[in-house]
Amino acid sequence: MSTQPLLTISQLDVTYRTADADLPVLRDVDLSIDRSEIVGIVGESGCGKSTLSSAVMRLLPPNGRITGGTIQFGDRDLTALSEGEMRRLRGPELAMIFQDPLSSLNPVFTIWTQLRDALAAHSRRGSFDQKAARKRTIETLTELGIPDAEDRLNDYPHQFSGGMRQRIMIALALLLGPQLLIADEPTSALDATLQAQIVAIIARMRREREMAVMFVTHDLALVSQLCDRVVVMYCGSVVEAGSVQNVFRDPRHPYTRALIGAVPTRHQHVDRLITIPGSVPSLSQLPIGCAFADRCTKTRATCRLSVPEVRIVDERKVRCFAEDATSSYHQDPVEIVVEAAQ
Amino acid sequence: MAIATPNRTSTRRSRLHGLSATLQQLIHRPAGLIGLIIVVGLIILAVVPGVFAPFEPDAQTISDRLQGPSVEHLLGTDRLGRDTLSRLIYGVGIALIVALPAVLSALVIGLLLGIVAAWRGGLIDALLVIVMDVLQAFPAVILALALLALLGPSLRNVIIVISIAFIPNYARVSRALVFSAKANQWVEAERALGASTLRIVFTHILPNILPPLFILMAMDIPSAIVIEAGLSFLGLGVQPPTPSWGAILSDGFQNIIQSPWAVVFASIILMITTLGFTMLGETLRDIVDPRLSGLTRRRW
Repeated sequence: MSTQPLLTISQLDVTYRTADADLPVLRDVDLSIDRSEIVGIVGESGCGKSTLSSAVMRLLPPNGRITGGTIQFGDRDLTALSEGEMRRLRGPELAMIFQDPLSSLNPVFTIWTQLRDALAAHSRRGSFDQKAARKRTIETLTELGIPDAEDRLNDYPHQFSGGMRQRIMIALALLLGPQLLIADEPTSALDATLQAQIVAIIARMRREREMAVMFVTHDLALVSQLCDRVVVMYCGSVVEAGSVQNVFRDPRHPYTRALIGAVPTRHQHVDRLITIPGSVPSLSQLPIGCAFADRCTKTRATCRLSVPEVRIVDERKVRCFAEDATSSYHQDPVEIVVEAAQ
Repeated sequence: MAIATPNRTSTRRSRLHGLSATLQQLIHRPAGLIGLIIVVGLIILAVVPGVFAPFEPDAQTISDRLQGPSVEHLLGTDRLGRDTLSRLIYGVGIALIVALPAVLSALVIGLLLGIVAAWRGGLIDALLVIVMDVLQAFPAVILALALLALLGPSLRNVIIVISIAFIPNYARVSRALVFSAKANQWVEAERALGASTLRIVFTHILPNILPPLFILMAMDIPSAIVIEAGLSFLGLGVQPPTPSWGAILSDGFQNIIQSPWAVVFASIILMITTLGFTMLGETLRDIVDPRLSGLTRRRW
């Protein structure tokens, strides 16, 4: 196994063209995922998490464009591939599961039809063995906790519950054996028990199949349970990235701190939930300096003059001028976060 | 596992669910039942007219010309002594052989145009919408008349002309349906699995948007039949001696004073046919998707 990461995103810029202006949705994003590593991408709505996953799959909406940087996957630069080359990678190399399992399957076909078609489309011409594929599919579905998988293959998506459909989506992704699974909020639409089951499945698949996972979510509790490393995004750029242990125990960026501080806990009885004051700046009117400056408690004059560079502090990357802020800012947040998940 | 699994039989049954349930609902509504009986009856007449018609459509008995209903000629005879009932029965085939291919080809062409417009968007979409709007600005009959005057009257040309008049209908509806279908997450999920655009459109989107289009078809068939009758009535459609309903009508008009029966009965069967298809189509539409009720508007 090479020491080179499976996925290396460097200085990625993505722009959405709108009638009024070009919106810089992602700015200078750096990210790497090793083989069989689970990396959590967190941040509030609209911070570019989903755009990042679409960019890696090269499935940006028609008005979205990668305007700079590279996405190195293995020995290929995904930004340089043609649509046809990219299409061959999607599925067998890079797979994606989505937020809403209820609408991720085509309602007019049985799940076997859909699973079979996906498998057949990616097998070499003429070498598709339907019987073997069916057997493998049944095994995978059973492994993922779908009872009576053999009978249920001939059911239509509407005959499955949301949790089951998400399992089918995961099975679909797994059957193709990708090296990287991009999970775009795969559990947000499911209730808490199902969420735990799906997360357990993802964790097991990583162990058994050495599959890397890019796990996009806004659920910090999930990240602390599941992920090895976490990347915190704010307004289209990475503000802090490091191992889950480091970042959650001792968050350095004021935004990470605020985010972790906003997770409700059982111990503190508060009248109101804690929020981060202010709102995310509009992408069409980004400030010259740090995008978080208006909401930050540590803003200094320099923050408004230029965008801070990424610095490496205590084994993690932080994009802040005030990285020397005290580390004992919160009560032990790791405990809080893990509890919230259970 | 908290999720209940339906047993084998219920799973099997549900595969037939769509079609049989629709049929069940159809025959439980009076309009649907009547429509279904009329349409099935017409199809039988069209397939085996010889079984029901007492005479050949062209068999002339000059001595029996312009008669009213009698035991021998149930609906009377025309000015050449041909049996009106037989001619009307053979006319069912003519009506359907014009209406079905015309509407079907309008569906296919309209569907392709709609898919291209919705999928490509931008300039192509805008252009297609304008062209379809212009086409639809003409009443279907006037458009068909003008085109027939250009092409010359014949059965084939009647089919072509009616089809052209109906294309905008299908193009607009399928464009709208593709637009809404392609916003579904499973389209993106398919992409993420490496499916090509052609594959997504033809194997995934198409089956999702066909049902409403078939209903639109059921409702356009009577319009096509009426237009065909109208064109033949004016002498621009199917040429004599082919027993087209329109031709029977115009033929009957020449002798309406002596014997109005041909006109009366041809009008009645035209009305029943139109009514049957419309009732069937509208009931189907209400069953399958009540939201589509505003989709088809008569255009004359």
